Amino acid sequence: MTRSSSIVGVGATPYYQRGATVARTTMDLLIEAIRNAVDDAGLQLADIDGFALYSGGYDTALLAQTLGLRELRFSAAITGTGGGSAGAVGLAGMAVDSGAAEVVVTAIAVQQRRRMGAAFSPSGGSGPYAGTPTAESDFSVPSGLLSPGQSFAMLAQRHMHVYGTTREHFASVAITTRRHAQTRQSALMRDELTLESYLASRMIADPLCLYDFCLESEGAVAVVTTTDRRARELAHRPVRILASAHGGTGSWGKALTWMNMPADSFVTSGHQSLAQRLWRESGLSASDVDVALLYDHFTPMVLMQLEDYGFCGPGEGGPYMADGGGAIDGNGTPVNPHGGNLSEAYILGMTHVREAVEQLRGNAVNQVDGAEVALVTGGPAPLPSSNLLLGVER
Amino acid sequence: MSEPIDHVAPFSVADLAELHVDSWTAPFWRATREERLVGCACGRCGTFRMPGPICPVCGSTDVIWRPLSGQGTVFSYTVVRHAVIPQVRGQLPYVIAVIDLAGAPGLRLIANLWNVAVDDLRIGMPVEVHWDHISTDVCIPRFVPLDPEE
Repeated sequence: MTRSSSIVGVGATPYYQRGATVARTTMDLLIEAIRNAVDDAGLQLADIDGFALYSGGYDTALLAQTLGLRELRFSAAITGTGGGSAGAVGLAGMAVDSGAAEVVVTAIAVQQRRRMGAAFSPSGGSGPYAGTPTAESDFSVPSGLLSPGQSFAMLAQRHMHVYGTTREHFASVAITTRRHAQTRQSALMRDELTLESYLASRMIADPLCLYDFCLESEGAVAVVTTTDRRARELAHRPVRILASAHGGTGSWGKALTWMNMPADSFVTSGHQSLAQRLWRESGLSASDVDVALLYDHFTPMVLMQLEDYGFCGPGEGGPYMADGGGAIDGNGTPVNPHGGNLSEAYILGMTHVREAVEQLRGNAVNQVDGAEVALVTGGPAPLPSSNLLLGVER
Repeated sequence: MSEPIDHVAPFSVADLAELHVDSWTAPFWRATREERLVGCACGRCGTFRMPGPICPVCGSTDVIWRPLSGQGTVFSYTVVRHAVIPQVRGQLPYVIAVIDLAGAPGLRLIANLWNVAVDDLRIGMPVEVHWDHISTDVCIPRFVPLDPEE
């Protein structure tokens, strides 16, 4: 596919700790982020003619009327959860590339009135992860498998067994990310994190402790995608969509529900085929990426994504991060200079898209010198997951 | 020998064991009530799979429920130390494991490990099924370490 679309606007609400936005509606947060993104682009709300969403999407009828759209010409959402974040922007690009729509918004708002962490339980959980009991959950809930963290702990445990990955490797992801967040005002967690405090923190689902988990936070982020031609007339340096993929191999499918994926997939993020498609479409590889925005709901999944995208070999993600490969001032490709889901805020992956845009415009808080290519991933999760490769011309 | 310090709890919460069987999973849960472990396999090509209307390998809709020995090995596990909902507070710590079922290549079952000390847990450890009769209608398979002497 010939890509001819760019991100031209990005907007957000402030980020809040869980429960802090209780007086507002989700739509309220969503509209604030969309308004900011459209303002940033130098466009009008009425210019929007498409929505490319994920995680179930929103009431687009209400959105179209509330925002005052002249005509809605495209509306689609990638199913699943935070796995679709990066790919939803890719979907916006596809809508623009095809001519179906010209100004397409991708946005998410997160409110956690109840804990997301108890997602799979019949009595807990909320938001896009909330589960209702089904025939398939009969194979997990009676064992007390009630949260994504417990599932990802089992992937992490086997990665440790197969590759010798250690808790210190997981810690290096949390510590590196926290160090990046310290200089970013929008980050909810900016206190220094040491290995000692990591190891002393409470164990949640062994081998994952408190600092291996992303934050429980609230807020909204939106981006605006339009044609390259129109992008050139707007305020900012266009951030071009170079490639994007969503989906994944069928055998990964319900991976985290049933844990029946093939043994060689079990120790991955499920992104291997997505990575191959991204590199094939773009003609680029991991070595061309200047900054990597990897969905970090759980620290081990950052290591597995580094492996799946080829920043290092299989099983080498731990040493890569522990040796400083992901640090902004390190010896590899900087990972999550904004603090990620682990330290900035957990807005289902859209903070990563925002950071990629800021990096490529050259105005990021922790700017990677000369960044021209950014990788963004959606959350390793049941299918579909996704990715996005963005770039600028100097 | 003294009791291991960090013995995990035998997780069993009746609230969570309410089943929502459909026509594809009913044979599995009927069998557990009779303390039989069975695996869903394709009636044409024999591939084991999670219960459902079609074989992902050959597309056949024929299903055979194969009797299994009840033995297996730990493929992975987690020791849960934090209660995500109030009902499990009194159950900590408990172990959730992914069990590779003997005689059913590619088929894994998520189940609790009972009667095990945390220090003894390891991937690859042989285990066997243990039946937890929650009620007259519901029996949940748990697993315990397999004593190689027996």
